[in-house]
Amino acid sequence: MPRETTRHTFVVSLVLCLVCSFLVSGAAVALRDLQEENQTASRRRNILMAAFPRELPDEDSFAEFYNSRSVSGIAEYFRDHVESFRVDLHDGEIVETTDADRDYDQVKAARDPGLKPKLDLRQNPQRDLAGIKAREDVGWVHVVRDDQEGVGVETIVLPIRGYGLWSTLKGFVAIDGKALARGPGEAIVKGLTYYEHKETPGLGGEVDNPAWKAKWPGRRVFDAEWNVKLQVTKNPVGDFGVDALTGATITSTGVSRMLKFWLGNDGYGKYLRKRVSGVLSAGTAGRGGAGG
Amino acid sequence: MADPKPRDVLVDPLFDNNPIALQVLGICSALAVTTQLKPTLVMCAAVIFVVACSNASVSLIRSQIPSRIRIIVQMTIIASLVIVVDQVIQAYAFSVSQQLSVFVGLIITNCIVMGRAEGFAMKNGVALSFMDGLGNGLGYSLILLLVAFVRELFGSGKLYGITVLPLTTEGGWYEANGLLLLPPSAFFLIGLTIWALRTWKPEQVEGS
Repeated sequence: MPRETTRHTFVVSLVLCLVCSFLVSGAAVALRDLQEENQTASRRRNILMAAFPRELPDEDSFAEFYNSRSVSGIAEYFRDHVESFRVDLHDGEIVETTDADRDYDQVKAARDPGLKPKLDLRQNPQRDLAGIKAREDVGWVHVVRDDQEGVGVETIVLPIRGYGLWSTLKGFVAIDGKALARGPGEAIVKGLTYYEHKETPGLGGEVDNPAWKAKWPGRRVFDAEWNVKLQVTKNPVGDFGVDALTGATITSTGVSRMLKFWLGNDGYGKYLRKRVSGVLSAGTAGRGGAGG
Repeated sequence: MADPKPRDVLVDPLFDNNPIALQVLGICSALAVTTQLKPTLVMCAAVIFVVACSNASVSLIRSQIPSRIRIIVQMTIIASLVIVVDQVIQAYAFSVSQQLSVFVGLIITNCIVMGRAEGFAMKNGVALSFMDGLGNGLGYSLILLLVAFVRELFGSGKLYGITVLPLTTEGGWYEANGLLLLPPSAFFLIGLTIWALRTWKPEQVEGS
């Protein structure tokens, strides 16, 4: 068959496309389970990185799995030390989490067009500080408890996300649960970490820089009236500010605004209030080891 | 070009006709992924696989490819192979895949892969093309590993993640060279490599 005819050109392209699409989709389907397992482990590792940015409950055993790539090691730590449960962001109550909900993905839930959210950010754009356009009704809370060496650690890890300059930054903020229990003014940050963003490398991308992340632990979160005071700012003074990223004003502002949103009344604020005032009995509805 | 021998097409690209040092192709990823040996190694394996398989596949169907759409056909084959490699790395080397991020995907635009498909595989047999791809992938890997070795050793005092030179920041004696962690240092190292190679093999010097 002559190979320069139009017909032959079409046949070759068609066959090639079919073969290639089988190859690509075959690989995608066959490897999906492994990839999802990796993603779960990676998300869990990030939760722990937010919870223990530097001080480790027990240097050796912790560092071992903290650095390890072993998926099972992390799963084990999660089973023993981390309680994951879900709360209704609208009223701050704990929502029952069944086995079917273990893979609940709150980012996906926010995008579900069939869902009628209790807070419609499209109708209230002035409340959409994080620039996420839609907020889910139910969000995960992870509580890390570690009593090794007699030092009780209780850390509340909350997922946060919000728009920076180019992309939505997704991460976790960890708050010292024992300090928070003494009142909102006492609450301090344990750590902050992002696991996904597409900000400019070297500028906004420095949200990943350990030196910048090290500025977060110990910062205060709320004033006595539960107003979120924690923010990224130029030349910070006092207990609330974290130094802004050089050359990344918009990313820095994005970080401030998403913290204000997720820790405020439209985010996890109502849950945190109820937790502190003792209205909730934390632990009853929780189920360890959920995917988060 | 007279009939190339399999041994020559495999070994030539290592020193005599190195894709990075002589043809100065594929520099982008050489700068981006060479701060540590481990991601570099994965990147090299990915490039070797892609360039060898794409060469073999293009060669296999070379008599059927209409010349009007040959570049697109090559591109489709290369892109499919790269996606498969990317999926495999995400499944079996997740942490490395996050470090490499877009650079695995960017193998599609690596001039070495395209160049070998168009320049060699369109004219030669399947086995020979495969060997040529392997050789060029290895030639690329050789330079990358050399650069990564120097950058990781002197930039962060480690080799393959294991501390060799204890850093002053961690209580050791070695003051890390921060420049080596930045992309331009790869340029300097590649430049020095080219200089060394051309001193050893003067016939590679251009315009003489």
